[in-house]
Amino acid sequence: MTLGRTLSKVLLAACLLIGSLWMSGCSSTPETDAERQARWQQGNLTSWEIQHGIGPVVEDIKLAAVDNALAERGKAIFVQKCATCHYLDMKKTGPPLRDVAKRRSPEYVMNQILNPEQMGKMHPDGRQLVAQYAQFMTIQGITRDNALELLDFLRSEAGNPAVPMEQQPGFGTPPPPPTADAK
Amino acid sequence: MKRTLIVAMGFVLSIIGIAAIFGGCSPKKEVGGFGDAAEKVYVAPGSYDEFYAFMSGGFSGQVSVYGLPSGRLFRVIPVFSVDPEKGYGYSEETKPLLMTSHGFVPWDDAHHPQLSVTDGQSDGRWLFINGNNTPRIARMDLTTFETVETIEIPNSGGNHGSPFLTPNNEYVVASTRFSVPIPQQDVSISSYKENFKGTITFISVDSVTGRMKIAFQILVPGINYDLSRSGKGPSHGWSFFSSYNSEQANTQLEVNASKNDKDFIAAVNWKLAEELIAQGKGQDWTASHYHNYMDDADVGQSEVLNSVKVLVAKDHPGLMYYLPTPKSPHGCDVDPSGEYIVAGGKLAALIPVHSFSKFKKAVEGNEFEGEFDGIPIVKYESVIAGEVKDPGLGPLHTEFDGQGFGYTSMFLSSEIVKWKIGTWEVVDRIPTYYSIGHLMIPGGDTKQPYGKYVVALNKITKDRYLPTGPELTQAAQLIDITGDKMKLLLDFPTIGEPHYAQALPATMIKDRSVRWYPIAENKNPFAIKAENESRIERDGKTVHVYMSTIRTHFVPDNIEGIKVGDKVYFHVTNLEQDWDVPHGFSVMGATTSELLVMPGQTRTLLWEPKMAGVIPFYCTDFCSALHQEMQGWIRVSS
Repeated sequence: MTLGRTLSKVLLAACLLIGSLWMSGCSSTPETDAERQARWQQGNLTSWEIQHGIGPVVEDIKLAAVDNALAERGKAIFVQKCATCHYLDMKKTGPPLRDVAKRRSPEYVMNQILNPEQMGKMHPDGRQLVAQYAQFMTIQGITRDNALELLDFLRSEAGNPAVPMEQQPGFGTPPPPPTADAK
Repeated sequence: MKRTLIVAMGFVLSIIGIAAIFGGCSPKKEVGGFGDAAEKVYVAPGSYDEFYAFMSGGFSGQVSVYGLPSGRLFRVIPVFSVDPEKGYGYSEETKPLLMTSHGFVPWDDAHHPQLSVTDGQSDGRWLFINGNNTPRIARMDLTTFETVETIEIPNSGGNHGSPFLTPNNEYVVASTRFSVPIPQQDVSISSYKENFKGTITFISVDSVTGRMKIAFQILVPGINYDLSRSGKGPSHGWSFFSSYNSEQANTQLEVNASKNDKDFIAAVNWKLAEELIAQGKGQDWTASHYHNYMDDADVGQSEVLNSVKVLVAKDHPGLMYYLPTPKSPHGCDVDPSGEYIVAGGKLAALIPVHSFSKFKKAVEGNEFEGEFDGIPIVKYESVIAGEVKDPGLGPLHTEFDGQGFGYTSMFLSSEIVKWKIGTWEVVDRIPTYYSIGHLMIPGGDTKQPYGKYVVALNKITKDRYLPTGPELTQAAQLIDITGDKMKLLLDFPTIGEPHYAQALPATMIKDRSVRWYPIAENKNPFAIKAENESRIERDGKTVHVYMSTIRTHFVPDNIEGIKVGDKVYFHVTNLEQDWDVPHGFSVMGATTSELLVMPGQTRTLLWEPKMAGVIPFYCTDFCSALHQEMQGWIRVSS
């Protein structure tokens, strides 16, 4: 009995020692990409990541006021690459995006655009949206600069009142029923 | 207390001991008496094979792509065949690739894949293959694994000795198996000796684009030119062709073309031919032929060319020689050094090996034994380097391992025979199941073979697989050649008859594979770059539908105003920009096939509605959870 108790004490002490060495080892060096990926795979997201999403953006972005030139370029990208699946004011393949820059942090918007697959698989909000729309957001080959342009476009639209669909040529309007009738 | 501790420690140690015995030291499992074969061909889930192997599909007109050593099939590339799975030969963009002077020919017999080469070694850029029946050569792009070009060979009958490359893709070389009147004329078949000729065609390959063009043809005596290899190293500048039917028989060839003790290997000096053409010695012959290619916009184009430059072999001394070779030779293979030319005399009881240096000396010393139809015949004793005696029955083809050995397939005795270059002695043999035709060592026809495996490409399968009615799968066998003794590792089925095959290390191709096409660079004239560009345009009875597709909808998905008798072109652009997300498109009653559109690509389907009503269309390639929702309707009015 005494031996058993002694042994278990020794074991406990050893475990604590090894554990503390390991913990201190982890906290003193910054997390590598591989470690981060492994952690996401396990579903262990930090509170920052819950709020701001997972992806290439891992730190706060300092934003200036909306840059109109950037927003214009963002609008062109939106028409080409996003409007296939998103309207501003109603559901399409994906959710409406009028207020997304108000509802979500800039980092979150960036990560959703740049890392849609992992956002849909590993982020709780992303998973919920995939379940709701039965669809992962598609990868559209968007660069980080493009994403910043899109962000300014979405910021410029956020808070504006909804616009009737027919007044949103390009990205808002469901196409009129096409016809092959001779004109 | 102490005793308890000792007992506990003893217990722990014995557990460790037992674990070690069962874990690390257990004997390796043998499967069916094949030793560690299973381990050697096992590629763990998610891992990659070491080699890509490209196998001819024979009379399926395709090429199939396998991994070695696993024998797993990755891809079937339609070449001289229509393929409804991929819409190849059905989409408006790909139809032109199957055009010939005989019209649209959606089938051929594809025998010999050849990987493009730089300095005599595979470079992983393109794959060429011949169409034997309606003479053609095709080029596949190995970044997309798609057929991108075909060229018809005029003045040819049976494009079998084809497409064999010179060491830097200077030329794709093609020879005629069936001599015919050239140019064609309406003559008695029994006038064979008088009227029938063969040709050897040299097709240039643009070193950047790969684009092919017939550079010149050589008109040669009317016998069968069966297979070919080009020289390398010391024999660079020459091409060699096995030939048979030197009897010039025109009926019952099995008897009448097997009479002579020796036929020939033809040696052709293509460097000299180049000079003669440059000097204007080529004759301009009218010879209509099609050249088809995917243009910069990824749209198939056909052009009809009307003439070729022809050199008549017997008019140009030094251009061509015959090397006597027993007996009805089939294979004609050059060793990695370029010195030896090995013939597979399918009716011979030996494997004759010619020496290039002896051949050159013999020509310089005028050591000729006569002429055949104006072509000098070099004395056999003057060119022969050695004979592999009693190798087996029916020697056909030889590949090399780069370690000083040749491996020859024996059709009649169903085996591979390994022999030593220089001593010509047989050192090993292994049975194949059954009736091996070609064989292939990765890089085994190049300057530096990867001598790890030989693949037997068998003509007959018989009892090797579960029976499937009268027709059985074609098959290949993977054999380990790293040791002194060849060891059979694996049987695996192939698509169509695997005549010849080629293989190269996967690292030379895999990282250059295209994943999708950038939509901004799509130059198809009917492409749309965004959903809001989708539209319908009518021009008389022709209707163009500019349609987009992305997970999970088509735009437009309701189409009205189509009339019975219209020709409706659906130009479907896939707006996805991600790997492995093609979309399909099909319309009820379409007499073609579906389209399969890669991300960023545009493909066009022609549909001619025959009755009024509302016709559905849908996506055929399961793309996402809402794939079943990817559908639409077309209203057809009378």
